[in-house]
Amino acid sequence: MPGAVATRDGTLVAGFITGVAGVIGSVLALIGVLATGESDDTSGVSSGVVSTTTTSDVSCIAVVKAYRVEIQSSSKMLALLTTAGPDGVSPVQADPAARRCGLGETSLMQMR
Amino acid sequence: MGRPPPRAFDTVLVCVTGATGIIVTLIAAGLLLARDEGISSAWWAMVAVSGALALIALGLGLVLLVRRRTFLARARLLLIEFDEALEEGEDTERLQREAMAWRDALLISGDLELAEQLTDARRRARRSTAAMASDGPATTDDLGERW
Repeated sequence: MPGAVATRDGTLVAGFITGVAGVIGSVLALIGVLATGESDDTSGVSSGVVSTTTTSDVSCIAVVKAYRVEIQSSSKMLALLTTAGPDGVSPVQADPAARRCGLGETSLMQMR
Repeated sequence: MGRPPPRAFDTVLVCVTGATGIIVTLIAAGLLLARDEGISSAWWAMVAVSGALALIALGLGLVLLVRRRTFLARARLLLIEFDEALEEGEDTERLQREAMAWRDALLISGDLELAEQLTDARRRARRSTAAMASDGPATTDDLGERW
């Protein structure tokens, strides 16, 4: 019987390889999503807004949300963020992420 | 008969890896959605590729599963045919040869129980043939076949 030879089935090998590749890829994607998610989570800390400037691929929704949380958490935060420092630049103006998303002193005041 | 399917363990392993990949991909996709990431995110590409690979693996596993079930069903049909031929005293030479080929294939695919049943059936057929042959020279020809 020519069919009954004890070799590995091609479909089996292909299935196993694609399955393992799929599992490895999805696990890597999950780890990547979790790892980058932690660095993007800026709410709950007073310096969170500043930390969003460290990553250039942060979505504008996350930036706006982070600024809104900071402003609403403290009445003095709006003034701190919009007041120019010794160099004549306010923290929100110095934040590249805020600039990228069109956030300025006026828009921060509107958030309040 | 065709090529014997892989063992049950290997078949299930492929299905399980595919299913695991799909589950992990769905979790990653859910987290991405919850984070309001844009569809252009590089992670989405990775999730999509992984999901596609996992789906292919699951599909191949299911194909193997179907092949396996078809193979076992055909082997059982042969066993039934063999038993009926024995009960009715028909010539079982062809069925014996076929049973041996199926037994080898079943051993390769790891279905030992069915292989054992086929071996038993063939043993009974051989005994039956031998009993017929020992009935006397007047009832058999030179080839040992019953008239």
